[in-house]
Amino acid sequence: MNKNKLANRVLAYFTKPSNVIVVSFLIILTSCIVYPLYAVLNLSLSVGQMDSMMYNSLFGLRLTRGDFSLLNIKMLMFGAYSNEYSLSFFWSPLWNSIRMSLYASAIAVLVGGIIAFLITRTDIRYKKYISAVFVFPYIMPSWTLALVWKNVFANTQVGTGVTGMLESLTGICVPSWFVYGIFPCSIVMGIHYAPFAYILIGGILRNMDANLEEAATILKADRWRIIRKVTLPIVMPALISTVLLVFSSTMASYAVPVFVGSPGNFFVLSTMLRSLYSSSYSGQSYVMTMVLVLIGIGMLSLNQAVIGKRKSFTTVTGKSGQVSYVRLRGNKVVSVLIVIFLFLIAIFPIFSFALESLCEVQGDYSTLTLKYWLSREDIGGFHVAVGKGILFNSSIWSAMWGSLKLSFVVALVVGLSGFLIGYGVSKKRGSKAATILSNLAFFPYLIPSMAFGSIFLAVSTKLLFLRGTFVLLVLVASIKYLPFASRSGTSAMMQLSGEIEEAAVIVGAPWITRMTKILFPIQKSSFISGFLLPFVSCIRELSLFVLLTSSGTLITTLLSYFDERNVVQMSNGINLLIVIVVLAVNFTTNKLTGASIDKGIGGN
Amino acid sequence: MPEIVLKNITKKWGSFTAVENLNLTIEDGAFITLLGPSGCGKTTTLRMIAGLETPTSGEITIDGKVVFSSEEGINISAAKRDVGFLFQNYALWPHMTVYQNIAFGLETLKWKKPDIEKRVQQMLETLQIEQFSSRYPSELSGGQQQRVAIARTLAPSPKVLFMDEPLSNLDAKLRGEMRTELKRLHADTGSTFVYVTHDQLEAMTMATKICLMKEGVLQQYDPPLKVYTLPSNRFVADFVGNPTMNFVDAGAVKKGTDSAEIDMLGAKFLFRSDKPFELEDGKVTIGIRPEHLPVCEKESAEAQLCGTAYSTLPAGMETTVKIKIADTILSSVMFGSLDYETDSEICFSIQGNMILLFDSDGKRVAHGTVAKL
Amino acid sequence: MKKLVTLLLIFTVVFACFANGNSEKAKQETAVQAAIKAAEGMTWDELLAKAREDIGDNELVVYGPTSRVKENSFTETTGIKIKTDQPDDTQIYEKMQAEVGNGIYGADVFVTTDSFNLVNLAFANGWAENYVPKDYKVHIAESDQNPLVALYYDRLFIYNNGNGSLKNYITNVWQVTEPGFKGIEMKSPLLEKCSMNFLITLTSPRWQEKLAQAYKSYYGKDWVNDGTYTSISYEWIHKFIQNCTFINKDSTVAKDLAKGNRGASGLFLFEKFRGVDYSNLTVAANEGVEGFAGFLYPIYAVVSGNAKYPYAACLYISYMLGEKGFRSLFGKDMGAYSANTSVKVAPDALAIGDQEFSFWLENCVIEDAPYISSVYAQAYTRIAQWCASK
Repeated sequence: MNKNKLANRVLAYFTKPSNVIVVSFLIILTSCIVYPLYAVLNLSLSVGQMDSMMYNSLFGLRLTRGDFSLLNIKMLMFGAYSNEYSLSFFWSPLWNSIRMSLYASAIAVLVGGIIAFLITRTDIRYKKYISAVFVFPYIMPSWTLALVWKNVFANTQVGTGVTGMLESLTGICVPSWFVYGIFPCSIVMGIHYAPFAYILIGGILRNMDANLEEAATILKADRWRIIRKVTLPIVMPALISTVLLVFSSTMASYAVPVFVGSPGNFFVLSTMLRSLYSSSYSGQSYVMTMVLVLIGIGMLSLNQAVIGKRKSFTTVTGKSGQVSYVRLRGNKVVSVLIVIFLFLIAIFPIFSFALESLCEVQGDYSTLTLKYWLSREDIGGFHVAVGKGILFNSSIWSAMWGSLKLSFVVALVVGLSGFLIGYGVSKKRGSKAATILSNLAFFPYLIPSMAFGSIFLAVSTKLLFLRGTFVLLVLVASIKYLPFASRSGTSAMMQLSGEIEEAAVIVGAPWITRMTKILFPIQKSSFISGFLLPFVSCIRELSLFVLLTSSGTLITTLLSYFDERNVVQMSNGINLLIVIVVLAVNFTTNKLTGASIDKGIGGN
Repeated sequence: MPEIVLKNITKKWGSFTAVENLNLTIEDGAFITLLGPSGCGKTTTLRMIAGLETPTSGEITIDGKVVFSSEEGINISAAKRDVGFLFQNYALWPHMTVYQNIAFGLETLKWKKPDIEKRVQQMLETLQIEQFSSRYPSELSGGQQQRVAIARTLAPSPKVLFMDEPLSNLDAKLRGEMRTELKRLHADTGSTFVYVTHDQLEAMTMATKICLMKEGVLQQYDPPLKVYTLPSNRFVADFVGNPTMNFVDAGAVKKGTDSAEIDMLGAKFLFRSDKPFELEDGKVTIGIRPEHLPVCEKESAEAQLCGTAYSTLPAGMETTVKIKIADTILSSVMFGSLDYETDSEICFSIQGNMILLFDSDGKRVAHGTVAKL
Repeated sequence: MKKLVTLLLIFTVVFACFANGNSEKAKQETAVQAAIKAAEGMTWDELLAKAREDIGDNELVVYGPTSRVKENSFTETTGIKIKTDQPDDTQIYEKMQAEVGNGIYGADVFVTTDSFNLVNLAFANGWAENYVPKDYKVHIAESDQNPLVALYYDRLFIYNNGNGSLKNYITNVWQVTEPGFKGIEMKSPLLEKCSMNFLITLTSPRWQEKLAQAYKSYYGKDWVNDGTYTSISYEWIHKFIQNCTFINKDSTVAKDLAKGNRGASGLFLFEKFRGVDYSNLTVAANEGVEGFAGFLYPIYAVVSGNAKYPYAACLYISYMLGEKGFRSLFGKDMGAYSANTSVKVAPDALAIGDQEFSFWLENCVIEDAPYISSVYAQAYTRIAQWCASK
């Protein structure tokens, strides 16, 4: 009887699809996230072959590979070798990382927030275009902005004295700290993530019940007071969310600090992580990875603690559209400023890629040529095998095809998982399993790409059948990009009244029918938006894949091949190609389905 | 025949108890309303019966079949309980036309296409929404959406129909019309209706039986008139009826088996019931419906008490007079349109044999007449 | 020969210390070892026939840090299909450990840098096996035979000559430690073992002597140990690192210098001359630098300890060492020198400032594997700390 009862209960539990979803995703994510993390923890608490040799020699020990040891931690963080070593490899980069991330978050929120406000609360012109163009910096790889920064501001007073655009146009030489170091790092990261802030904050502003603000207007509060007392507190959770997300992303970013940080002797955790990984103390790089992960967990918990209580007032009625706009239409200054700003951060980089791909001699605009695009012959030049022009280069197109295929599959897997996780979490909301699942699905966001790639490289040696395969790339990328999709999936599902599905349950529609006929069609646009973001991130991703695949299989690894060999025309051309493909996909999807990366906002 | 029986149903969320040990039998063909203030557990109860919510413990049988039992670990899904459910927000599928919304359930039941068409057409006609058949829900007004929702729910002819505050989003006039139609539908279909509302008037006018709940506990389960005239406690008495019942604090001394001497409003009365009752001497509350407090001329024989006119609220058909007496404000409802000058003297009597006597715990111990001593 | 003995000695000591359990196993000859033994007795043609028979239509897998291993001339010459992967010099050892160490087949050939890891990790654990092609044995210096060096690359002091207006800018290696050379660019030694190995080699007695000579001629006085540094080499290294701006890639350094100010200097891969407008650049070595003008580092080619096609692997290594293989894989332009002394630098390269290997051997620091092994941990850690605490 008792057994029967238990069996009945288990059976009853698993007849609910939401339970099946939650449980199976818990299992999948645990094995794909928790296990690798355990592996890294293990690596950071034991010595590798090389580490053991180094430690034995330095400290007169007799460790062998795999021995448990706290030496990685002690030497990296607590001065076991010397305080200076710990300071320069860990504490000072940590401090730099924190400062950079704070500044970047502030910039992202400020810039993204202002644009979001302008789009949703003023009658500024060209909203549609501003909204569409403003997401460019997020679509483009972050380091392209860093590159542009360098190309514009480098001058004869800084470094080896390569002349940048600003100097050649105006003769102005900005000081060294402006070109390299924490200042450009923070600005570039801030601008790169500003669209992210814009999407989050703008989404809330747009969906916010206009009555809330109108109520304040009726009570004779002036505009500024309304913003301060009503609007700001309501978007506060989104603001805090943005700050925390940008903070942890910036913490983990590698490319930008390398481009505009290192030349100014500005080192952060991620660059030191890379150095340690290549060094003879690779065990310490795992400690660093764990530190980054822990910082990420800290951020996430903080996010939960701050947002958790207030979540209720971000759910909104959706009755809006009667917002009274701040009148800016006549204000030319604002419009001109916005246009200039957008041009600089969004259009100019693309323009400069195009131009660079057309210059035979870099920076000399009298040597324009189309051969790097159109040549049907092999382009010789400077002893490097370049191949045919971009449009006729079969290896470029096959790499592009590889990237598209990968991104598409990944985005599909991620989008679908996000939809299902969103469903499971919203159905089981409040339950422990759902909370764990939604946190777990968000977790990969906190693991730096590079660390993620190396973790999976290590794990894949244990799973032979996966090694070097397309499936492995899909798996790694899917898990890495799941956070966005599971978030958007969950929030979309949370907003949908449970009654919508229950109405179908009552008439006896089976689960599959409910999904395909009811929920999916309703959530289509949010699903496609949840599909686009991973697609875009995936197609421009390099650091995640660079360890897992050989150059030439993906467009970004090919890009880095040409970049490595200074064939700037080709690397810039490919960069342009990536941006165009992404924009085209975004545009087409938008036209066909109405969904877009900046969905939910944008002018109408 | 679908008789619904709830046995010891309890629902908890963490430490919060939404429904506590509820026992209820819903007879076949009844029109039951679950009534109570918001948060009393009525919607939860409905959803548990429908299978949309899982009780923490207890047993539910529909038509003799156990659909839920915590003991046995049985939990039959909503789809298999053969019930209809009308949602508060209608839950119309925004991406389907009116026709598709109504047809969906029938398609799920694998009806043949011509049958579906016929049935949908019939539903559209019944609810007078033929002209909207190809529109999307967002293109309809609230009342029209409501009709579509009803059509969708009724299309598969469920034996039991659950409704969760279906009229709360409509304006007063439409709500009145829909009440009439729902009651008519109940008569036409012969199905069992279980209806959740916090509007006592809706419950009174439509139900064959009212199940009144407070904080997850069943207060009274009786036909509307009985709930109105003989509420089992002060809460029920207060909740049902508009204007609400007058509650007068009083002192009581038991006289014999069926009488008590009451001291209220600065005068002494004799309360007499048909039946013997138990009462401890001390503080009690006397409940008097406003219609049992008719205003009368000061000089007339009926006049038992006099106070001042606090406020007069004529509504055309009847007038509510608020009378201030000894720091208490009493309501009196009179037929027709009356007007009293504010603060003028006003006299009234306590009439009828449905004067209620509540003990100090708020429980009704007796009903009867009062006469001034 | 002396080097070899020292190397073997240290090898044995290290082996005894760290892998004493493995010595029993090492005595039994593996299939790969047997194949290598056989291959070492074969000429190119014999080996080609054997390799073809062995591998058939399958792919030979090569891991190498340089993209050059990708070129398909090997397939054109031998008809053997090839698949390449490009892990960097840290990953390649991780891969060896993960794959060969766990008995999983991954690759047949490893092309790699860093003598320290190769000897102390790969050879010591049997992840890789050495092979010397019979045809070229006589042309390869004995010190380059175990482990087998396929070729050398060089990183050189190079400066921007301001359209030829600047000459003899770096004539003494101590110049680059002076404030005038603040910002001299180089790829961070933390990112690549070969740069680190160069700095460690500098601390050897031989280079202490060289640096002392250069010091005297530059400052006009003898170097005196005032206790700040353990040796003159450490003083040079520390001051040089303090002067350095670390750049992530050699190609970026090349670009920065070519487009930079007159006098902008760097220490970078000569090979990266390709791809930049080098008319503005002068290789200091060609004007003579007292002390040293840069450093040479070896690219090793070894057979995987669990190669599936050991004969084809040997064939590939043999191909790398031959004239044709070297030309098509590495020798198209400047900055690469075959360990096979009979293969000369391409005339094209000589025309734009490259020199024969013997010239560089004279003017550059060359990775001293036995010495590096003897001081590795202490020297490495001290230099690494300096690199990080800029």
